Amino acid sequence: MRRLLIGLPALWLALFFGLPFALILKVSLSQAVIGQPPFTPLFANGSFQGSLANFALLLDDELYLEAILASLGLAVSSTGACLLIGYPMAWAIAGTSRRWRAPLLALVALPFVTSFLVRVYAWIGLLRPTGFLSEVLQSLGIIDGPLALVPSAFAVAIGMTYTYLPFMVLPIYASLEKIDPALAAAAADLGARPMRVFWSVTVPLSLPGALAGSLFVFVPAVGEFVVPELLGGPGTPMIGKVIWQEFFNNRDWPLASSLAVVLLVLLAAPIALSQKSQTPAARGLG
Amino acid sequence: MKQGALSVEGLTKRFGDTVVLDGLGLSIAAGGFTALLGASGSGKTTLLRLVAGFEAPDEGRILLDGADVADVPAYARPINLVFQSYALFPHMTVADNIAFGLRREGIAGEELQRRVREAMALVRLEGLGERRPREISGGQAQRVALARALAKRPKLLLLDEPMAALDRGLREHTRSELKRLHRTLGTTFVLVTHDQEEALALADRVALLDRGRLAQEGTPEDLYERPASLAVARFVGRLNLLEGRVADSGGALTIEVGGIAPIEARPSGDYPPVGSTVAVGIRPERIDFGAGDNARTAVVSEVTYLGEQSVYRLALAEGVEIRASRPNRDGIAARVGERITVSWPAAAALVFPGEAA
Repeated sequence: MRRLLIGLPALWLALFFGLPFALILKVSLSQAVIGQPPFTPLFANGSFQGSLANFALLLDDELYLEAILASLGLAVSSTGACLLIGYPMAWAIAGTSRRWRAPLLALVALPFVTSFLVRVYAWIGLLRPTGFLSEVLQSLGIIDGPLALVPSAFAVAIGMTYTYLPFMVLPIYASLEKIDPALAAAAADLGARPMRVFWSVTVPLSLPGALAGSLFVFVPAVGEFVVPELLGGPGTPMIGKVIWQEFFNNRDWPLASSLAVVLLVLLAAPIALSQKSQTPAARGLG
Repeated sequence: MKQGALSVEGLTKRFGDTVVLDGLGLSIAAGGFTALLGASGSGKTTLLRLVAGFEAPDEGRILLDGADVADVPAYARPINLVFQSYALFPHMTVADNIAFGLRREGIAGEELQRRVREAMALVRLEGLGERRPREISGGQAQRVALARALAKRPKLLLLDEPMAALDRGLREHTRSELKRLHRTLGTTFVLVTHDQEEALALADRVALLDRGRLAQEGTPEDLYERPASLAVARFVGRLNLLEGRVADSGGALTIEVGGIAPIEARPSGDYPPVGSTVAVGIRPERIDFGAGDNARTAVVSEVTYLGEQSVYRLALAEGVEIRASRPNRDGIAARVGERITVSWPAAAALVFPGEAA
């Protein structure tokens, strides 16, 4: 029974992560051809035909590097923004009376009941020159002409932060809620003012939650291209967009696969890093 | 002059409609070891939180060495608390836990090291400084909590149910440790507990709280031997309770109790009027096997052997039972079913006006 329980996630990982990744890795080593399937077989005439040519191409063309850097930049800034807004939110919810916590948490998760695309389009409606925000600011006399917030990098930042905020708030809340209130009382009793209590007790003990939340935001944000596509201007394409184009527009499956492999390796690095740093923190939490 | 005298005046605290502290007045002498004793709901924990500064009173004053501290925030009060759960910071080492409060006073460097070492030596924690709280035992954790609070050299040390999380063997050891610390430091110790045995064993003064008021304050002996009310007598120690009516108050009190021969009592203080209903309380250890005041025959209906002593359930009449305890120095004094003569001194009876219930 125990073995089965441990085996289930392993099976899940093997089926839905290991196997697809093996396929992508295989395709990334072959070459694009016009045909069905649109790539050369890895083994032909009894010998291995694979090569790293696609990966070499990625290094050659600056477009790919730029797309990766743009995506990483967007992911880092989105994670930072979500952390800055999400931590105080989670802290405030954890600080309310027990009666209020469930409804407030439900409000945080509420956006999930509507489609993601609808919500992004709603932001376009709010931010465009003839949209709600622009009209209100004009009628209040704060601005003279219409405000063109979409498309802009600012709109992308708003859209990304808005989309990923719940993934930050929930794990931080979970770790804050677990902290024994006696610890804050003890710190105050020992002479710590409220700010000192916060930085010396609350923050370190909620670090695992903040780390988990950051990963939950960072990892999908790297691959995100819908929000920048809809809210951003015509700038550097995101890596997710590039992979899409290579797959569906250029039908270069091997190149797209090699990009996907590179992206995965890039994403695995921060996860491995956070696992390492989480161990001592978890030890302290005992 | 010794510091750390605490007094509260007219202290009232309500939570919603519940009055938890009801105009409480209490004085605690500097340098003493006082127990705040009470059942759950008596208000003792609320009093502790008010004194520590975690809650503000609705009415009344909290005076520390004569100065009202009710508006002083917890972080600025020269009072420290040993939490029931110890509340050690799990992400810090033992040494950092102890240094935490000292750092808040701006103590650093060599002086900080010295004060931490001193506090650890005081509670015999040498060599554990680099451990994390989860790597030490419950008894050690308690000593860290003590060291952390005492390192600040507070005027007043509050101890919230310090024995609750310790097993029996450790409790006695901890008791003598606390007494030793109190003797060594001369700091005012205030112990909050629901355990009357702990209060009697540790403190030199006991304040018994009952429903948000002070029921009695005195030495452990005062509370046990001369309880101010039936509630105090019932809470502190064991008690045989009989209800009766005062038949005569010339010389000794004669109290008629249904089913048994009248009880003769010489309580200290004023006698209740003839004809009034009273509760008569007799401590189990005051009941003698043999002739004397209030002698009568009883049938032993149960014997509970407890090692150093035995407790005997005695039927004085149909439906009237009392308990007597005797040391087992000379063996068990009576067997179940045996018919014996028991007695108790007239001065040993505690008499309270009103019904026994």
